[in-house]
Amino acid sequence: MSHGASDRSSVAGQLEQPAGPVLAVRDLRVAFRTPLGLAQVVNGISYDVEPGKTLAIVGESGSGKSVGTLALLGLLPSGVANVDGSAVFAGRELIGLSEDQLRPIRGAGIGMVFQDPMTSLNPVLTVGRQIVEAIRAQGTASKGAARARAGELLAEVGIPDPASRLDAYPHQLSGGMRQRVMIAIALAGGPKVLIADEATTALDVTVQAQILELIQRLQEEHGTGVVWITHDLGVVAGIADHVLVMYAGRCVEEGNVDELFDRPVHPYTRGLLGAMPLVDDPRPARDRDPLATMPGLPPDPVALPPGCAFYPRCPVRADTRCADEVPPLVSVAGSGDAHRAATFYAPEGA
Amino acid sequence: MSGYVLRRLLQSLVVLIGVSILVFAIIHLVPGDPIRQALGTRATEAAYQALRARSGLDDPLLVQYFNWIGSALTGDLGVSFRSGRPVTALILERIPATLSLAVAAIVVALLIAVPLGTISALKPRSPVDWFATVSSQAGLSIPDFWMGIMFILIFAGTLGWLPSGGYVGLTEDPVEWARHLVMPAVTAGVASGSILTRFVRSSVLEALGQDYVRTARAKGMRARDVLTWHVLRNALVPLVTVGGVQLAYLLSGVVIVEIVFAWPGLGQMALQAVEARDYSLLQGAVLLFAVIFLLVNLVVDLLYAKLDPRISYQGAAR
Repeated sequence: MSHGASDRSSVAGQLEQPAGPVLAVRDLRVAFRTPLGLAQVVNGISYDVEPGKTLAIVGESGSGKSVGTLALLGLLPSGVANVDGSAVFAGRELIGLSEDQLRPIRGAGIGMVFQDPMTSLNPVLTVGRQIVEAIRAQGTASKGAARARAGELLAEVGIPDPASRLDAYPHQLSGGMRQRVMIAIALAGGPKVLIADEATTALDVTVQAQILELIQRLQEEHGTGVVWITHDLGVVAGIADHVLVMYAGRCVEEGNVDELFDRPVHPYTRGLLGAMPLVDDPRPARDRDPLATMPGLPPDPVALPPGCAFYPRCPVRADTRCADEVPPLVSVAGSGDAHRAATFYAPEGA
Repeated sequence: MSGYVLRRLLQSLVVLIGVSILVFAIIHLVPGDPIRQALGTRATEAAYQALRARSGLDDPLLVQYFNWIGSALTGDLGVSFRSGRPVTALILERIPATLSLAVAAIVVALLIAVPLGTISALKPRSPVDWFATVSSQAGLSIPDFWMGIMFILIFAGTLGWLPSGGYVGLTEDPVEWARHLVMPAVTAGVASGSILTRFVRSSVLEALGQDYVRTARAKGMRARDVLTWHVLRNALVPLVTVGGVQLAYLLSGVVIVEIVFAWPGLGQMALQAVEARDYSLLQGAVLLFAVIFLLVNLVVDLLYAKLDPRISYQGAAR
């Protein structure tokens, strides 16, 4: 296997780890200093990323799912973001590292694929150059070797005629091809963890399926741990092993993907699943139940409600504590520890 | 790409024809009689009529225009009423001085603008940013004639380090050429540099916020490489446009700076032509300025296509 790690410097070697999570995030908190006050965007998130497994982080826009991962690599604007908590990657604490200490981990340890490949690729540089940059960022590969490797990477992500594509500019490629280039860039460093931040959101459904397949194939080949950030539950059902549902910067429910889809507990998760159309509904379209919607908007991160953040929109609000107390994330009865939810309300026989 | 060049050249030609008509028309609308100016008050009526007929001013305007533009195409811009010498020769004499000043001034401007604008964009609201904002405001607000005179007073008068004015050809004496060039170049460069500083700052700030800069950082690239290849490289595209306009402005003569430093450039020549109602010289000078602007804009557009591959692509697709 022509994996980048083989010709990498000692960085990748130090990162070799036995079994166990390759990335362990504990009580991660991110707040932005804004003119209106402190915006608490991520309020205590914990998760593990296992090698070869996929963790899906689900939430609507503004739920803090992207910010939480950008914070791990120090990619948030340094002057305005306060990051607290712990994130241990391959035995090393990431939070609090300096720019110079984080740099070897970016790309080589944790690779990232961003949402919109049109804006995430530099429009004035060829894709070959942008992949070569990623290869040479920390490695010692010569220009010629890096270019050859860039061609291999393009072939690996399924771009036809890779040698000539190296000289193409991003605007000369289709959206799906651009996202493949982004994935090639993310793989260039041979990362242990791949964070895909809404990586298929901007793509057509058919292209989306191809990209999902590609990531799964690469994950199997390289044993990469994948963090898939999305608001698309259909994607989650297709690829995730474990799911974490975020609302207003907190985890409201998490669990094994089958368990969570079959027995959602939190009213927010139930609302999300109810808002998703069933593809295999046997009834003709006009006879189906209308899609459920959730009235209201997520809370302002500058002024979070004192109790459950979902309280203002919650359709059940069964417990009197909901308005004043933040419900803790606890195991759902009968699930062992495979399924946890943060709600005082637990549906009967769910 | 070559189709793009061709189309831009044709566009420039159309603009040039329009400009020539405009220049011709405006100058003939300016009050004042060039023949009387040239001959003085004691010339006889016969001499006046003879010169008037000889210079072609009796012909219909349309004939005058075509005569002028026809000879202009062959490099003959007519004869100066005032000095009696060919306009083309008068202009060519001024080119070295103008070119020296314009190039030196744009270099000064870029040496100020690129570092200052970049640093202040990297550290917004820092003391450096504050200094850059205040100094570019000052550079724009201080009149260049006053700055020029202050320089002369300090560096030529009190300190006696530099000559107070005049021009020495590069080929005659390179050292003296440089010594004469310093003060006018700095005076003209400060104003351009102040304008450019703001453009550099805003285009670097804009580039810094782009997603591809985040991608570059996420790759693990060195901060210096991210700055060079993803921030500055992309900030260059808008900077070239504004820099080009500044260069064209400097090339067509910075009149006040040239007057203050007795610099024999095109701006000074154009001013003298206006004062003397030297129609043919003025027409030639204004036409030349138009050509300079068109050429610089053409070069900027071609550079633009070179710097941003999306532009030539759009051109080729049409």
